[in-house]
Amino acid sequence: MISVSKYNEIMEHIELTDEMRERIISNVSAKQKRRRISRMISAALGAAACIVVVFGAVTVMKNTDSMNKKPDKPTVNEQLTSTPIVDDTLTYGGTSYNSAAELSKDFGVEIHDISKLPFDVMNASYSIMFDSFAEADYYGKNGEDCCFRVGKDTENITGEYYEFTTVETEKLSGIDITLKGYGDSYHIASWVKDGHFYSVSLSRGTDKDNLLEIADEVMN
Amino acid sequence: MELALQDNSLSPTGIVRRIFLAIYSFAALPFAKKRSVAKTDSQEQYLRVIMDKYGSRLLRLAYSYLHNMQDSEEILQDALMKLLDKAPVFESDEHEKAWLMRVTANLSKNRIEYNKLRAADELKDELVAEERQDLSFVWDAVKELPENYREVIHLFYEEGYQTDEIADILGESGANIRTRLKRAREKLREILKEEYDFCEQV
Repeated sequence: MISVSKYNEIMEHIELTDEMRERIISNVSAKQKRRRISRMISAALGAAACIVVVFGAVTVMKNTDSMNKKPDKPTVNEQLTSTPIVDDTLTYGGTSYNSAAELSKDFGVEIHDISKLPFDVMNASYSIMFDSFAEADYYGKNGEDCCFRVGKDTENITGEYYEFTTVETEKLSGIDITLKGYGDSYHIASWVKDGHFYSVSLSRGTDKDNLLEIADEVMN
Repeated sequence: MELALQDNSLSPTGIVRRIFLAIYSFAALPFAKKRSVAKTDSQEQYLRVIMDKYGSRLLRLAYSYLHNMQDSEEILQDALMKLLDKAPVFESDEHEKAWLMRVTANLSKNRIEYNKLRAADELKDELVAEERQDLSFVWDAVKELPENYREVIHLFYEEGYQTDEIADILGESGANIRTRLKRAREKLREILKEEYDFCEQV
């Protein structure tokens, strides 16, 4: 009897190579992307079907109303003309704004742009989602992005459900900042201040000092 | 009546507005809440960590069922897809590993059941090329075992799981696993004779 069986020796011949790893990552990412697109299309089709039904109902109501029209009362058609149905400030599930100042004013919490991001910002968007949190998104030219959120209350609205290998807590101005990432690459900083939950989430990780600098900039 | 018409919320337009908002919110909810899924870079890094930790183990387990590298690679890929889709919360590394082992085993068994497998056995070719007749003889013997014997042999000898842990992973009773392990050893001993080197401890 020997300590390492021949079976173990046989299995040592099977190794995940770098080439296989890269191929798998690329395939999984492509499949995930296709699924996301397919889900978005399904949701959009569902929403479009609902809109058709609603328009059908409005048309029926309009026709019924026209038949019973009284001179001293505006028709449904007049109301539709005077009040646009689709407001161009609406984004899905929320309202969009042109700047951090506008967002801050409407949400009632001080929010300002982040200048210490680890990439050059090419584009930014601001919105209030589901009336529960304000969000500022910054996009870089190479596909990087940063999502900054402030909640109405202390509920965790980070929106990140991955299991990170690095989870640490650091103190900044007496507040506990939770940092998450993989190894030395940090992706998320979150904290609670003055009854609001804050999170900064980077698609591409950065070092701990940079993420703390960003958190410090947001806090002050 | 005039007042009612001035109040948008009670008018047909107000109702339509509210319905629109509800539809927009409903349709967007999954994307807003799962925003992280769209973060390809984080996802890639997570996959790299998982593959560094368990990639070779999962590949070997799949190979023990399928005897083909391409099929095994696809199983590993599918197992990772499941991990991203389900996003389970693990209590420990052991829990995470056992979950991935179970998913890989189930996917491999499904592949055997529903799909025609590829004929190539790269491992056998490699052992022959290395002129390791002793190893290729053992590998042939293991391949001859029924699938439910092979999985127990692999999880016990390669992964070092105890029979009760194997039972948890495969969703069977410990007694069942012990019986299968005993029969698998008997069968291997019968085929391998002096080449038999499987430790008999349970």
